[in-house]
Amino acid sequence: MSSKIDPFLLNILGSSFTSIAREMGISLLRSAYSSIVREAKDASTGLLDRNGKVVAQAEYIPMQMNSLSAAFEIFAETFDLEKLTPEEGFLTNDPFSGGQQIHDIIL
Amino acid sequence: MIVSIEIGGTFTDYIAVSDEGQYIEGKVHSTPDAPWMAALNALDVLFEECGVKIEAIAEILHGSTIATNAVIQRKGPKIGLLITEGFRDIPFIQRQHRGKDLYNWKFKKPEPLVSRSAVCEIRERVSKEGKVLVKIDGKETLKMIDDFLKRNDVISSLAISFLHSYVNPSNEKQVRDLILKEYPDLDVCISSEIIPQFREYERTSTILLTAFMKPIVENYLYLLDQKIRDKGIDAELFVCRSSGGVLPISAIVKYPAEMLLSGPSAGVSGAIQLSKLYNIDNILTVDMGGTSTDVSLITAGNPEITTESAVDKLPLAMPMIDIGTVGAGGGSIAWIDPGGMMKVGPQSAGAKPGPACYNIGGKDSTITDALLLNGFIRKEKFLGGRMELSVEKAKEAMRPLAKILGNSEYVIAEKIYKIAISNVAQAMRIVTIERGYDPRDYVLCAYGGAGPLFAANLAKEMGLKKCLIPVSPGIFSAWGLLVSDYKRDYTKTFLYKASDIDYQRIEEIFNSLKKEALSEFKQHNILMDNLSLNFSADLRYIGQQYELNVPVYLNKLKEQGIDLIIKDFNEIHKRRYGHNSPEEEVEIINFRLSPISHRDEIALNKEGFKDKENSKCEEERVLKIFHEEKFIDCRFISRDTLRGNFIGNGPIVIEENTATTFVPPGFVVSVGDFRNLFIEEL
Repeated sequence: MSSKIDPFLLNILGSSFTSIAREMGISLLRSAYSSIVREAKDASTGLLDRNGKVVAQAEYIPMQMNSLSAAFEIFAETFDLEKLTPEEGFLTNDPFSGGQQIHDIIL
Repeated sequence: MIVSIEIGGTFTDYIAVSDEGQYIEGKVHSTPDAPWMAALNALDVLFEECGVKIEAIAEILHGSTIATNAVIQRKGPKIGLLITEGFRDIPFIQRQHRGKDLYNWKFKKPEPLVSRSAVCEIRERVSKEGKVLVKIDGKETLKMIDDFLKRNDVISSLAISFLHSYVNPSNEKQVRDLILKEYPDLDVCISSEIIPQFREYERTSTILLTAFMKPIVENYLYLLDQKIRDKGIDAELFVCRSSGGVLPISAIVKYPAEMLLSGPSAGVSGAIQLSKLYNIDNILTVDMGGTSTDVSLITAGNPEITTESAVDKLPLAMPMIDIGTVGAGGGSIAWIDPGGMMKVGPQSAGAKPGPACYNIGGKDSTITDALLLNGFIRKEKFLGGRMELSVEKAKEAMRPLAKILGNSEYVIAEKIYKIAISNVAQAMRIVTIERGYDPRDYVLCAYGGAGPLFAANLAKEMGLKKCLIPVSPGIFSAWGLLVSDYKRDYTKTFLYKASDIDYQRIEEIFNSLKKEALSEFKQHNILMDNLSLNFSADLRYIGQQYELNVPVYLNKLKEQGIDLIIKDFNEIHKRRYGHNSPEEEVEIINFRLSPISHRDEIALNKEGFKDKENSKCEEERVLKIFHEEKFIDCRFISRDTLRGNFIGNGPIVIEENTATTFVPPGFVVSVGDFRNLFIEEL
């Protein structure tokens, strides 16, 4: 099996993944109550693969680039991800396990 | 006879329709130095070449990019701003900008239309409840304005924007009256009359745009009107406006900002008419031109409207058609990014030097070059045969890309086509999925010179099941003008917690908007025998910043009470954001009315119009196109030969003067009533 990636397919899929992350971000910003989120745009949304690597991220704050992966690692260690259903999610603000500061919430 | 004239950047499109169903269409070159001339030239063609009688013309409907261009080029009058003392820097502080320029350390804020020295602070203050806290001292204020105007003696148009004037406009009115008494030749516009909405930055930005546009729009329209009368034409002139519909000159010069970004709205009006003709409630419009593609949405026969538009990054808070734009058009350039990936656009080769195949000096490979190499456009058929394209030049431009990527020029051309599809799909995603709509519920209506070439593949990409290609898609905006109705938008900001307001008060507010609308329509002699009133309100959960627009039906509201609006808001919130909180308190912040006075329908018969005067029909032939990396046979048919019983399986290329339609293998095309094309996947 060839492992060569077709650059055109990469281009097309890449834009789609970025769109998805972006749509999440827009929903978050527009329905937010926190003025820090909706005015300062101090938030990020992203799409991760099954290993927690960031596939696409809509970053509004460079500081949060790739921070989602760190949180994912903790979740992957603590829970059995194979048993996860689409209705379930994880929420943390613990700076000692994947989070940043207490006011920052990672979903 | 009704004539529509749409002035674009390069071409001016026109269509004339008579009561007997006679139909004439055409294009003339635009004349940017004296825009009105192109309109007169179009009329000349009708009189001199097509035998139309001057006295036959009853109505002229007009759309123009003059307003938008003036702002983008910043070519307009010197304007001044009078603002509440202490708030001089509102136009300059703006709102936080972050987005595409996240890493651009050379980022510059958008430049307002007014310089800081042309902003004058006035001692006045109104509270958010409308109480006058600081009255206007007539003498002192006039002195300040005198000094201000002396310092800035080139100012010819003034904007006034005071805090909370939307609740109590008395201070704004008082200052305006003061000025006009001393300076009757000055143009003065006040925010409480043009845009009585809260959010002072957006309101100020909108009134600045209004002040900037007023002399430009007035001069242009009055001049155009005069030139038309000089020709002996006794027709009424109506102008296309941004949230759809048209208005007579007298109304547009009062609200000149409504001419901004009016280009796409004519096409959307055309699509709404199609939705009525075929009983298709939901249409997704794709207008692909030379530089960009505009996508918009019509749901249940109504266009999606936004109040967060901007012209050249300057906010415009008036209701506008919600358009998703992407830099993908006939002139979009194919290039390789530093990472080795091929991209298409947003840079465009424009009309000069243009695509390589235009053979006027362009060296870049563009979408048009790709379409030519793939065989979809024939070199001798472009622009109705008026301009021969060079296949050799197209290949030459494609060669560097072919070398780097290790493919033939034909394969590269096909990849360019596919990337363009993906790019336009992004815009389609923005207006559908991002707004909470499912694209699969929509019919794709494609127009513009290039739209019909991409329609079927776009539909497939996004899951839409049917495409509708209107007659003369290349000049569909001119068609949209013909079928536009009279329309305006009225808004009033009142903040109410849902628990603090009752039906009586809501009815009272809407009735005052209705009264204002009817009186204004009457004042401008707009016929009102077929009027529909569209009420709506903007709501949000208390604590949110962004509101959502909720349509309101007064009779239902009377029966079911405020809870109906709250319920509808919750549903819209869920659809748009994927979640809602029905237990949270809701507030109403804006009340809106969009009255539409329907114009008489133009004479259409099911067979479409009588054969066009200047159609060049050709016999069908079979030629090669490049598809899925090989050459295959494809039928080439002249659209003018197609009649209502035609049905055919792709691949078929359907050619007409202003556009080309591509029906790929795996799709079937049929001709509907009124000679529109329908394409569906087999």
